[in-house]
Amino acid sequence: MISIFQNYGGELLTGLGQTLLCSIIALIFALIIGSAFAIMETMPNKAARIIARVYIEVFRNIPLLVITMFFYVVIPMYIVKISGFASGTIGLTLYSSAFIAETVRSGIQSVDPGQMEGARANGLSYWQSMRYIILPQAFRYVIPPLGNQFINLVKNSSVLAFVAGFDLMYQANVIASDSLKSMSTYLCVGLLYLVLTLPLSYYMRHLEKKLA
Amino acid sequence: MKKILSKIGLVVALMLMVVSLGACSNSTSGSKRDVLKEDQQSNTITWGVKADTKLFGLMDVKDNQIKGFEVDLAKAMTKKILGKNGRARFIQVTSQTRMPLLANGNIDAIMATMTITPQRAEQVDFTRSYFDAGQAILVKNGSSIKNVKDLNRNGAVVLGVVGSNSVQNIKKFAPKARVLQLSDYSQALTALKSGQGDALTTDNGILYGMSIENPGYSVVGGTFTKEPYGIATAKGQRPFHNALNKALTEVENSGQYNKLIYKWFHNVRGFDMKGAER
Amino acid sequence: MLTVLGAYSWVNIRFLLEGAWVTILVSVCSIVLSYIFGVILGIVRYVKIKYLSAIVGFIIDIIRNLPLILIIFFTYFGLPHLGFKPDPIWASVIAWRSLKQRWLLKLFEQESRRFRLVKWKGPGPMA
Repeated sequence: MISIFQNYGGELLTGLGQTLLCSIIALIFALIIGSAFAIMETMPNKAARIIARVYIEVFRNIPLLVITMFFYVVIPMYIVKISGFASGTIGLTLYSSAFIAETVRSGIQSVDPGQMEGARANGLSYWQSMRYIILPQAFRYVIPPLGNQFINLVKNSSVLAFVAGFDLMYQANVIASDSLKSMSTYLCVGLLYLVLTLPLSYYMRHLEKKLA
Repeated sequence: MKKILSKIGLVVALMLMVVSLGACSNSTSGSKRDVLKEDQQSNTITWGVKADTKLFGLMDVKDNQIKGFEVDLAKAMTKKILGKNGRARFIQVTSQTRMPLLANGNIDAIMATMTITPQRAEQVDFTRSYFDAGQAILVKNGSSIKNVKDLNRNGAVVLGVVGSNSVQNIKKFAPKARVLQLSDYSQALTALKSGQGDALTTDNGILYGMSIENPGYSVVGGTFTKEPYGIATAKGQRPFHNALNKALTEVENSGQYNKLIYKWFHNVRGFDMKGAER
Repeated sequence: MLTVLGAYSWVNIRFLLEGAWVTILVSVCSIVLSYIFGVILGIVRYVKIKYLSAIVGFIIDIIRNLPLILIIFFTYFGLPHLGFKPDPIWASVIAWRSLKQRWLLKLFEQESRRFRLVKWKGPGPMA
């Protein structure tokens, strides 16, 4: 196992970097898009609710690999060329945003409706009450499940391996077939995934305890 | 603080556990069983074959059977080793999974377009070559790339398959090109069709199979390496290994080999039939 | 677009349906087994048996934080070392099960925590 780290340090480091990069980009955009659709879903406007519902159900119920393959194979054939890394990141963003939207929506809905009424009665607009009253409470409720979504997102970034995105899993396959030591290689890579996800999961637990 | 320390301690302990597990996994792969004896008892040889490679081993969706030159050759050799009623069982493998599966004993032998290389020969035993292929490139018709030298420029992208030695070779012949490794040949071909790369490289036999199915793509520039395919067995299986070599010779001498070559390759454009016959 | 239409021949559809059957098989087995194991492990973790709960919790953390595909590789390539040879489908069932049970477990924990939270929060806004 040590020999894997010694001989393929460069590959593993590239993999770690690509996985991290993809995860961070996808995390930021998924959080933004997901929150936007969550708010849309709880809006009084019926059209907005339907649009959000359709978006969430579509991307939540199609496997991540299929979404990614669509961007890797179909879009370049007819519209514009997308690299493996980009298509993986786009797929991951869309897929995760649907789950994050569901999570945030449940948070918004768990805030007492009286709060919104109270805020509106005090003269705040709908958006102001959302921004200053509802969302801060909602996010507090959903931190544990949101943490789960983040961890899932980092793990799901392994989809990049299928579209030659040079992430950790891709490097694992390359190294395993080059060194012919598959078990040790996958253990090494497993360790590196833990390095990424364990701190995240402990931090989330810590945050959860602090806020609860 | 104490709690955090104990958590860190736990993490370290686990990492050590994983590392030691990794150390174990290297040493346990050498098995003491006798594959030939086991196969004679069960009257079955389990072969690892490709299921995504036309002409060699391809899953036929009509009846869920893997069909191809290698599958037919494996059946013929099974009959030579186990007798007329010997059964051949086929498990589909990819370039990436075949070695671990053999090491674990999921399969008895690999016949999956696997080139004999010194590096691989350290991990497995090879029989003598049963097919002589060579590496080539497949491009879209009308592509500006005519041979492997045209790929040796910055910005050129070559597609290959993880675990095949063609991705190692292409780095020697076109060091400036970027190599993307996909998980299997159908994936690599799909990537070529959607313009993710300029050329697909692997052994000519496999590429011919692709160009039959996809007339818009052709093999160009001839072969630039020699790729003798061998049957791989686990280390230390001498009796089984010898039985395979003997069976291969018998299949060749009886003329069955040439019949199979004719069956699978006679209508392939540009394939050298005379050179392949034995 | 023609290639897309060509893919819908009966032979291909039957092949896909067979694939769908495997998907259903894998899903049903994994859901049932993961639910059972998840609940058991969740209870072990919840009742706080000395050492055992901590160890279980730790294993959960490890599996929960690894990508599914890596766990499938471990079960497919690693289990034979322990003298157990699953074929590809069963390897994925086992992997799913172990992943899923951890996940359900977290859900279970979370729900129980949430439940406590709700009880505690109950009179809050009114008071």
